Amino acid sequence: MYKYSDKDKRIVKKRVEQFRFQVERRLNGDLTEDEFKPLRLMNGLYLQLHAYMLRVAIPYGELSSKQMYKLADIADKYDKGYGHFTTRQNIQFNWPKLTDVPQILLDLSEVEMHAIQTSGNCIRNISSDHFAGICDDEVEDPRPWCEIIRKWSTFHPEFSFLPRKFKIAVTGSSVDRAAIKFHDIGLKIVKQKNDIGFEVFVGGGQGRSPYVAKQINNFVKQKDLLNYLEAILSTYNELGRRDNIYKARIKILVHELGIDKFKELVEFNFLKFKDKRLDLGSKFINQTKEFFNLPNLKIKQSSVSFPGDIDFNNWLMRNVVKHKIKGYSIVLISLKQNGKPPGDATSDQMRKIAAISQEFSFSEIRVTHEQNLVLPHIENSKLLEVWEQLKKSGLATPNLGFISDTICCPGMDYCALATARSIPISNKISEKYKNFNKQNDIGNLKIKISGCINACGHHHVGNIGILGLERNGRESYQLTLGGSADENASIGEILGPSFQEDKLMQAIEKILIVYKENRKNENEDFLKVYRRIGISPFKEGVYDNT
Amino acid sequence: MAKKLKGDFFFLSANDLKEGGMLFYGKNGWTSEFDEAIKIPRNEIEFYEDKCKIYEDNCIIISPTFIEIDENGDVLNLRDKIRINGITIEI
Amino acid sequence: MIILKKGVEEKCIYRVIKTISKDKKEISNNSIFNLDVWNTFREDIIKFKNIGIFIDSNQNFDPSFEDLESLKIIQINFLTFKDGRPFSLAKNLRRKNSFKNEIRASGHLLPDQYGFLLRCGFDSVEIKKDSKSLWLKVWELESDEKYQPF
Repeated sequence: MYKYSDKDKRIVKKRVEQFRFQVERRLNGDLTEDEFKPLRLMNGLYLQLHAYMLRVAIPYGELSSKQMYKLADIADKYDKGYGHFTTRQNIQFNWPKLTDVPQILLDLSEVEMHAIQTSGNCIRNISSDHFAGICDDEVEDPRPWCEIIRKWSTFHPEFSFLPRKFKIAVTGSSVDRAAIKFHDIGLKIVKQKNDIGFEVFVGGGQGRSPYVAKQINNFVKQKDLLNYLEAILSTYNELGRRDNIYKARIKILVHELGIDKFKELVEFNFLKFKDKRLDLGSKFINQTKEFFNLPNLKIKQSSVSFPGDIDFNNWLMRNVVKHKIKGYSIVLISLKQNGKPPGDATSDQMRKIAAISQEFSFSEIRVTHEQNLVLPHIENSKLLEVWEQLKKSGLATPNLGFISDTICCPGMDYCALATARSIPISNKISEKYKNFNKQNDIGNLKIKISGCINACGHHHVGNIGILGLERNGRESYQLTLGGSADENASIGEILGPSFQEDKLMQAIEKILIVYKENRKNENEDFLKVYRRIGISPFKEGVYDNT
Repeated sequence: MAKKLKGDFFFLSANDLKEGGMLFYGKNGWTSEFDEAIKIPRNEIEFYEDKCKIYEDNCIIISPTFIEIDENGDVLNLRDKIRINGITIEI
Repeated sequence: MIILKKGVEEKCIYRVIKTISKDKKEISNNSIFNLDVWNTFREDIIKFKNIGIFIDSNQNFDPSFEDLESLKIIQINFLTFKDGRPFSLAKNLRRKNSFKNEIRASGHLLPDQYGFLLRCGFDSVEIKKDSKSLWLKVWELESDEKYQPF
């Protein structure tokens, strides 16, 4: 894991002082709310329906046990005893007081954490593959590159007042677990002959105008990475629209100019005005890589002990994944416990996870963009013990990739922008399909729920997407089918007229019936069937009988 | 603030600048007790908007909002009901 | 209004000229002309000394080499502090156009942006006299250490 240098520590501490003074100026009237808002957002502080909300950065989703303990303490001391893990691998606290936030930031700085650039019209937290460095399908570990980009983008003098927010994701694998094609910039580490470089995608995103990112360059050399990013950002900062907030993201600029024209402008900036000072030397790259060496995992014959417990077997089947080192496994902790908001963890659960990680996973924890957690290095012979401990805390729900493993935004229960609730929908789904065999029969199926068109719940890329709207004063839900955020990215297609809340579950059940009737065999999952048969049979199946 | 408002009566709400919590405008000024909120007829909206401006300028409240109610004082919108009664889910 | 140049207060020696009357009497030494005036009266203006140009943050400015040769100062006026285009414009003037003379920021700015302005190539800011101590106090809290080499 990355460890702060003294310089990192000083910069983060300084930021706390700056924010403390900004809060003071807001409270004494030196800053108006209009002026304070972008400043507080750049420190992750929102105002929601009932209270402020603080979003704390978890750079590329990597946490230590010590940091997790601190998050639990903050949840207890300044909040209501829980936190919410987000689709960009961060954590949100829903009830902090403005006057406490400087102290929270100081507490966070003690464990090398902060809330810098988790919101605002700047470059946000860099997100990545939650299996980075531990899966055997990657060209190279993306985390060192995330860290290099994190530093470059932190308090960037030119890019702190962009037309709109800017999100970057990096993957090192051809299997995309980081949704790079739905980011403003998606980076994929690739190998050309013996050279490592980056395939660069630009202009992806969701919201009211969803776009799959387009390739802008098939190979940017390692040395040039920051100069290339700088050229894209500078072009966007100058030309991105500032007249209409809904058209201000880079995806609209890329769409309006066309990728060829946009590329021409970027490459002109890149080739002509490269800043030599931003070139990445191999010494610096290698120094950064050293932080991310695997812990000392000794290759061993370590096998799973089977107690003959069906729940354990189900959990092994769904929540445990092969590690690249023989004898170890990757454990996914589902934060989709039946009846609880997706992505939420109580402070007790956080402490439990921190303790388990300390004992069994070298104190490392990851956050996934699908709002679950990862224990990256569990010896196979310890899996049973880990499962038993997780189970006691409600953390062993065996549903990864199943219908109840929904991505879900906070919706109208928390969010001032939402047009409908989303968590109660997720709860209904997990209640209806809580039986393991029922879910196993359905197979892999990603449901993603957003409480408004801004699409924080990624509904556009759900195999089944659910968008909460308001129609005549009532909550109403629109369904989309066939979306996917992986390497074969696609945007879901609208099924038809929306459903009132009491008709929604019935519609989902009908979709599942059409799917089951059409699948060739158990291995053909929902998305495959959809891609083979298209939307028409689903329309007929859902609307003809209602 | 009042442009799109429907209905004849309203409660006035806002968030507390320092703490973020919900406030309602009552007989004795801002209160966190919803029961104390006073019913505001449409023709007094402007008066209360001006009042809000003063509280905003004095760094007491942020994000003032009129809550649409019927003549019995029942809240009409779901969002407002959630703001008043809290989240609808179990933590 | 005062000028703050690298933390030190200076008197402004320029007048900002936004319109020109028929006899063109406004065109003189020590003046900053807005972009429209500059485009219309360029030939008259460049005969004078200590001249500059005034651009609003939403205006495109693609200067020629000759333009830049004759400019002592470029003033970029923020219509709102949220409009970040001038940060790129200033950087480009320095890096692409090798502009060596003064670049000044004015308009709606926050003291919290001072460090960013200087690092993008601005030399000076125009601020209200009574906000000087606040600007300096915020600047004191600015970190000496950066992640970028500029």
